[in-house]
Amino acid sequence: MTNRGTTSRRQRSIIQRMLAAQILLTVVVSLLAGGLKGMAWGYSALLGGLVYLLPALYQAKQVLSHNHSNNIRAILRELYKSEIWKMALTMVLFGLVFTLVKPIEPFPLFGVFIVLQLSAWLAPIVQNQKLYRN
Amino acid sequence: MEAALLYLAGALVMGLGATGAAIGIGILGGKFLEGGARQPELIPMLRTQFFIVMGLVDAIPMIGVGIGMYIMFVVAAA
Repeated sequence: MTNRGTTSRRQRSIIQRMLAAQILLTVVVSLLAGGLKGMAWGYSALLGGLVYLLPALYQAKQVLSHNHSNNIRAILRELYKSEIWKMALTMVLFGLVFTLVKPIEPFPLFGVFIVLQLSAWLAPIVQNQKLYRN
Repeated sequence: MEAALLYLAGALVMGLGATGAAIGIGILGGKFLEGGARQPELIPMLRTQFFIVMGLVDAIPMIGVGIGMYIMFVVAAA
């Protein structure tokens, strides 16, 4: 029997581990890019990672912290609200990066951003068995 | 003229990507409501899966937003 309407500890840990792996990936790629191609590549890669991670962390916090027992409409409303804020936050962060940071290297910036998005695509495949256990 | 076309391109990249995501997330929300109404005991699992799949659906428009803003703020401004 599950605790209805709350996020179970196992599912919470799946999301937390996914985010931790993405943070680690950002740091490693930024250090590698900075070491191999210079400072601008390093901070561009780091900024690409942050533009992905900050909204994702905000959304995960919103989704994991709210408990609406088994009111599915309230859960859906909360999920949609967090998604809208995630998109808005991403746009603001991209705007800030493109206006305030000069020079910016597009390849590492979008490279890390896209790799992190793709890593989120792979997570359900890797975690498939764990997702369906409750 | 060239700058105007670049702004148009950026807007199209963002707008068309967002349209696709809006349809996808709308369908996802509908299925979530259906699933939760049929089997309320699965709501916690559905909620986690919804969160993860929402991340997959919004990946392409997010990338589109980044590239569109790059076109508008950096390429068109240069």
